[in-house]
Amino acid sequence: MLRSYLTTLPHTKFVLIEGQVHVSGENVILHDFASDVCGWDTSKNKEDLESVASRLNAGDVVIVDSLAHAIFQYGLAETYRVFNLLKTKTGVQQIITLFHTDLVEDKDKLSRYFEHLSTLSICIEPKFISGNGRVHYTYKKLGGKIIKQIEEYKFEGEEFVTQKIEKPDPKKLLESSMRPEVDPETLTTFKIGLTDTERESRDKLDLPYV
Amino acid sequence: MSLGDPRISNPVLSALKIKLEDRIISVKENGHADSNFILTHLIKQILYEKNKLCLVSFHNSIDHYQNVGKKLGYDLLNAVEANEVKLIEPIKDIVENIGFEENYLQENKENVVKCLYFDIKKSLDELLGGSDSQAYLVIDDLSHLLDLGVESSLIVNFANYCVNLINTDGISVVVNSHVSSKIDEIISSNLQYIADVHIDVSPLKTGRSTDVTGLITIERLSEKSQYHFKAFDRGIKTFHPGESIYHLYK
Repeated sequence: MLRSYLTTLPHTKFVLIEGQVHVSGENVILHDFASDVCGWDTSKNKEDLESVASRLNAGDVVIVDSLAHAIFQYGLAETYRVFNLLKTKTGVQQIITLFHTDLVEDKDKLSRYFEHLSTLSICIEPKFISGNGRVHYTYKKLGGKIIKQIEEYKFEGEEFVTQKIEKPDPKKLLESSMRPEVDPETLTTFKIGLTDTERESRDKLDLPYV
Repeated sequence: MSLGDPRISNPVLSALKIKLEDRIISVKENGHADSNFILTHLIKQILYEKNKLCLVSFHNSIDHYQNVGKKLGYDLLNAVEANEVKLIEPIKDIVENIGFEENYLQENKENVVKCLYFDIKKSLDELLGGSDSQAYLVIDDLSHLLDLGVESSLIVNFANYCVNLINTDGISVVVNSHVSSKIDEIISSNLQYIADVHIDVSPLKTGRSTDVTGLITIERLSEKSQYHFKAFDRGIKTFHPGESIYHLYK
């Protein structure tokens, strides 16, 4: 399901990926905000994130790597404002950003702000039981319906494959966890069990209570 | 390769396997562990390979590096004389500025890191000046900028600037950061995301031991390896976890 949400048209407007996933696109123009972050290098003409954002055309897909660094550079308010601008601006087809939550203090608050803004927010979860990665995503449909799901993903060659996590069948689980019956007689050469007559006489015995 | 090659004979260097292609190396020092030996051993390798070094030390004095260097088999001050090594010692400058709000102790923290960055850039340019060798920038350690009152976003930006120096062929960056608070984690994680090699030095989870000083975890894109290590007076021995008995009590 996740794969189809990522690929169906019209593309979902704001994809927020939290964790460590990389997304790549075609016809990429790189706006370099990484090498001269504070404008210390006076030889380069430093562009503002907002001015780049306002120059974007229809049909552009914006990929921002990474949101935490944008917050470091421009502060939370400015970054939120720019993303809001990008989202509401008609024409920009899709905005994709990666948010490393371990790079910010107060990640719960910050992730909530951007999750609110996003239309598809994917959170990478640790692996559990199976070897496939896990994602927890929230998808907001255009009609207003919100779908929350946990799915597993893997890469088969170049293909990104996602599948719903199957609920394990309780019968099968019980079968695998029940240990096979052990016959005590076979455990050792000593006679451990009791024959029926021995059991009877044991039951009949009155124990002296002193 | 001869037996004299420390990249093979030295236990720490042979475990680290740092190659010329490793341009960004991040070292994380957890809790009470001391990751300084990683840096001093890397300096040994750098000098052996006849590469250049720019050492920025916030944590130890140059005398310390000279003393440890002598025990490991290299003379740092000689290398400084021979223009193979440039030293930037914020510690010395800070001591001289106590009482005056200048240089590292000035109010404008962005200026502090900006000036440091330009000092580093100048030193590296002088070291590289026309030669073919690789110049290594070693910073020990980044978390001290927090102690100077520089806020974490500025430190992340400063680290970013230092890392971008690798855009010049011939420069590699080694950054050590000590982690004992959430903010330290942020600074170290930032480097970990972009590092070619991430080296984590931690104490043993269960406490102190006479046989094992700590744990080294070396992470690259493709693989992760762990070693226990024991620090001696004149060097460090490394071994696979659980095998201390074979290596220490032969």
